[in-house]
Amino acid sequence: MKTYWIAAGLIAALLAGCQQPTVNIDIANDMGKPVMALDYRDFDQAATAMVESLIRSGALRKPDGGRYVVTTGRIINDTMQRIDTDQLMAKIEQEIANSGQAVMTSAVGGKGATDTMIDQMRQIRDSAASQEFRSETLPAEGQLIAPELSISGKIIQRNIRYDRNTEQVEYYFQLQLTDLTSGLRLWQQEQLIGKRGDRKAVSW
Amino acid sequence: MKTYGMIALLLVGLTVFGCAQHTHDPRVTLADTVGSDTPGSNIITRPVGQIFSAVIGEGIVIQNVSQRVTPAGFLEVQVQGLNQSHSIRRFDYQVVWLDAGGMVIPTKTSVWQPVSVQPKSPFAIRAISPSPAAVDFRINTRTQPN
Repeated sequence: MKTYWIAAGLIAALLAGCQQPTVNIDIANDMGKPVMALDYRDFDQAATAMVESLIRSGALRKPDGGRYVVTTGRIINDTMQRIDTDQLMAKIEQEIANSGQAVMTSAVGGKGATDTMIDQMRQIRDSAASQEFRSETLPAEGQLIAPELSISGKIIQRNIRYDRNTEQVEYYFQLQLTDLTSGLRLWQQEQLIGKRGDRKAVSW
Repeated sequence: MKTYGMIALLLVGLTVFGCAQHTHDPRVTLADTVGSDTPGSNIITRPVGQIFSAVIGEGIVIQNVSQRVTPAGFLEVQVQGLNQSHSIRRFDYQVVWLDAGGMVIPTKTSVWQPVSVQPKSPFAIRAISPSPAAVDFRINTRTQPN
């Protein structure tokens, strides 16, 4: 009987020893292996290339010296993965704002208003609930500023059988900047990230 | 002893020859197997050159760093270099931007970016600052994780 307990103890100790320990990713200097799916390093790389291209193009430079008002339009996720496109756009929006050349608007966007409180405050103003607020603290009509430029785009995935055991996955990040008054496209960029690996490695 | 010395000298000579095969416009680089053979790059002597290159540890050298300010006020940097080795060199670089006070400008664009350079070929890295406040920069490199 004692032997069974010792054997059980040894098996339990072995199983515990096989467990992969949890570690924090060193995001500043991640030497981890690439993965077939899109990870944060791919988004960082794509966003950096996009921002550099956009700034270099001069498309955000307003002729009269002011700042453009920019909104994020529709970003389509045409991959097999569940991606929140904000993972890409949050970095780009942040850098556009930090560049000092443009301001982002939360009033309108491809997914509706980025901040739903903008609409909610106006609904309150136009309803009986407005009686609960001091009228001068409610937003007046005609105060919102319409965007002049819109960024829209797409993330595309293509899976290609490379050989019997290897699969090639291509991810295309495509963005464009459009003047909402004229409809003219001021800037466009495509960034490709390609991966090749075991067919069994899931890329969705 | 003399024979070994002569052979060694010959090998070094062939390797050096192989490194300086610019008989055409120096702005155009032809890879070993693309251009015509030279004493240092033909199918027999090429392995010698490759071994010698590996032994002396040839790699990336930086030849020129230039910068300019764009009309919109952003600092733009170009680093030109050469891969001296006989193999493709892959590495990552990261640009850190500094303001007039020498403080690092926080940006999402200071991430590791991959570069791949053909053997014996020049390359260029370009980067543009995320803010007009940048007046200086630092570039770090590392080997690529694999």
